[in-house]
Amino acid sequence: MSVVSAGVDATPLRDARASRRGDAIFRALTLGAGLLVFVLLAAIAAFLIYKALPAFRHDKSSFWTTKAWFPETTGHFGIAALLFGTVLTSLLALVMAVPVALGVAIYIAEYAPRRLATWLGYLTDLLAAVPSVVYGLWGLWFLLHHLVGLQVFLNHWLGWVPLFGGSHGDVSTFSKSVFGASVILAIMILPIVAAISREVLRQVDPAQKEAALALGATRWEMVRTAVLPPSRPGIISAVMLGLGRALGETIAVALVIGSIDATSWKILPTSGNTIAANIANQFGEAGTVGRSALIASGLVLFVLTLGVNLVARYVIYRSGTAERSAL
Amino acid sequence: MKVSLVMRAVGIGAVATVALAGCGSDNNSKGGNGGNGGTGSTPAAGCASGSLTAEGSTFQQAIEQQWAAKFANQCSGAQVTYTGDGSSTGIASFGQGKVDFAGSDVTMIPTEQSAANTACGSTALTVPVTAGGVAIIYNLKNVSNLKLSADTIAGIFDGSIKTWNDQRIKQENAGVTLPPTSIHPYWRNDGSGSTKVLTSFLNALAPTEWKLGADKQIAFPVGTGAAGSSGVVAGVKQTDGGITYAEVSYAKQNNLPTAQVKGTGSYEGISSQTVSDAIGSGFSISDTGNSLGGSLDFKKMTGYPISTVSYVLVCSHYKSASTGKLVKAYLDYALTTGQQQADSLGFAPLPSDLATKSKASVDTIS
Repeated sequence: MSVVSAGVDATPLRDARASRRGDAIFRALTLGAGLLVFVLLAAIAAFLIYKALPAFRHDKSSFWTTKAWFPETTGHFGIAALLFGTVLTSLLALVMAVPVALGVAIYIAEYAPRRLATWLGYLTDLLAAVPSVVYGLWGLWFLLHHLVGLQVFLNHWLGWVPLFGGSHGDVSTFSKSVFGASVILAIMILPIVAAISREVLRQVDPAQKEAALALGATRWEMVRTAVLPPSRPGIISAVMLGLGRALGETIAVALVIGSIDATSWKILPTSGNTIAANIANQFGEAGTVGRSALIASGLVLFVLTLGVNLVARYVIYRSGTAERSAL
Repeated sequence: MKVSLVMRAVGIGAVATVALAGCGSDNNSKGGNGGNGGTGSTPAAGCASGSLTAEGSTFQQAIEQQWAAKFANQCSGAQVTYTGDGSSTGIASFGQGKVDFAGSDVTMIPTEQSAANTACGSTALTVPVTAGGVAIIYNLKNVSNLKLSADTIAGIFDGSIKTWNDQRIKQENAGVTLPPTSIHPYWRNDGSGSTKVLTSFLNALAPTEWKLGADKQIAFPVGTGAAGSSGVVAGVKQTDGGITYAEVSYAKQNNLPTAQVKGTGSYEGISSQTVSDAIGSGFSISDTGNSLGGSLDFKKMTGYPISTVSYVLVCSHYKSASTGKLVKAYLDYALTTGQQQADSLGFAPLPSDLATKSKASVDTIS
C-alpha cells in the first residue's frame, strides 16, 4: 500500500486516474473471484440436492439408520454404517498422525541442525506428493499383510478395550479393516499436518523465544511456553485440514477397507466402510437409483466436511481472540 | 467383471495404435492364422472401413478389444473402439443412440428394448457373441485339487461352513488332507455380472442351502468385500484359506488354483471346452425373429456349470448404410475367426450351433 501511495505522490494527475481505473478493475476481478467461490459452492450444493432427491423417494428404509447399501436390488440403503466408518477412520487417523506430525514439526523448527531440517522438510513434503492410489496399492499389497503381527499384539494385550476386541482367528489373518484404513490415512495426513505446523512454528517471534531462554527456561520449556501457545490456531487449522483430507479420502480407503456395512467398534477384524470409498466402489456399475443414492451419500459427506471446517474456523477464532486478550 | 481404469487406458491406447498401423496384410477371410503374407493389397471379403464406437459389459472388454485390434489389422481403415463401463451403461447409451452397438451380459427389459428400437429406427437385436465361466478361486496351503458341489459353495458363501476341514467339504474330497484353517470368502462389493452368475447358479442348484437370492449385488453375511475381480483375487492371494469367484484369467495371473464344480452332472474343471459345453446344453433362445436373447437353465448344464453368455446389442437396420456394413463385417469376424481367440483370453467360444445362429442373425444387419 505504501508503494501505491508513493506512486500517486510522484506521478502526474493523468497517471493517478489511470491507476484509479486499474484499481477499479482489480477490485472487480478480485470481487469476481471471491463471488465465484460462493457460486461454485452453491452450485455444487444445488446439484447434490437435486440429484439426491430421487434416491430419498426410492429408499424403502430409513436413510439415516439403515446399515446396508442395496439401492438397485432390494431398495434398502442408508448412511448409518458409512457415516460411522468415515468418522471413526478419520478420528483414529488423527489420533495416530497428529502427535507424530507435531513431533516432526517441532523437531524441524526448533531442534534439528539447519541442513538436516531442510532435508527433513523436503522429505515430509515429498510424502504429501505421493498419489493416494499409490498409498492404497501399497497398503493392499504390503502394509495390511505386515499389520497382522501388530493386530495380534494389540488384541492379546489390549483386547479388553472394545476397539481391539475380536477373536484370535479373525485378527490373526490378513484383514481389510478400519484399523488398516486408519493407518494408511494417518500416513497420508501426516505430511500435511507436519508441513503446515512447521511453517506456523517458524512464524513465532524469535524475541519471545529468546526471552523465555533468558528467563532460564530449558529448550522444552521454551517450546511449551513461548512457541506452542501462539501457534495453537495455526496448528488447529493444520489438524483440521488433515481431518478434511481423511474424511474425503477415496481411493486409498476403497482399496484397504473391508466394505462391511456395520457399525462395529472392533477395528481389527475385517470391518468398515466409508462414504467416499463406497462411492468409488459402487459408481461404475450403479444404475439410475444407485447413482442418485451415491450422490445422496456424497451430500452427507459434503455437509460433514463443511461442518468440520466451520467448527475449525470457530475454534481458531476463539483461540485467536484468547491469545490476543492474553497479550 | 471390471477392469481398472489404467488397464482400460492401456487397452484403448493399444486399439488406437493398431488401428493406425493397420495395413491390411492378412487377407484371408477365414481361418485367421493361415499366413499368405501380404501378396496383394485387396481387402479381404467382409471388410468395411470407417469407425465404430461401442460400450458396455466390462466382462467382454478384453475380447472386444482383441477383436478390434485384429479386425483393424485385417481390414485397413476399420476402427472399433470399445469402452467397458458396465452393461447398464452400455444399454443406456445404446438406447440414446450414443454408440453404434453395446456389449451386455443381460438381455434388455421391455422399456430398454423400446428405447433402443426408437434410437435405431428399426428393431434392436440381441446377439450372443461370447461365453465365459466364473471360476471358484481359492488359496489353501498344500491343496490344489478341490472339488465343490453347489451346496458346499453355497455353504461357504453364506457362512454355514466355517473351516476347510468341515465334514461337507471332506466328503467331497476323499483323499485330500484338509487343514483346519478358517474360510475367508471374498466377494464383489460393486455390482457385478460375476456375482449374478454365481448366485443364479446357487439359486438354481442349491435351493435348500442358498437363501440370499440372485443378483448383481448380494448382502453376503460373511467375508470381505472388494471392488473388481482384481480386488477380490488380491485378497485371496494374500489370505491362506481365502476363496472367491472371478474370471479364470485372474487365477492364472496369480497362480491360484480353481475348484472343480458339480452342478447336476459330474465335477468339472473350468476350461473353454467345458464352458462351451455348458452353454450348449443350458442356453435356450427365448427371443423371436433374428434376435437371439435367451436364458440359462443351470440344471440342464452338462459342462462347467457356473457359465454364462454375453451379448452385443445392434440395430437390425442402421440409419447410415456404411455403419451397418461395418457392424456386420466386424461381428462376422468376431463370430468366425474371433471365436478362436476366446480361449487364450479366458473366454470360451460359443457352441458351434449357437455361433452359426448368431452369424446368421448378424448377416441380416443392413
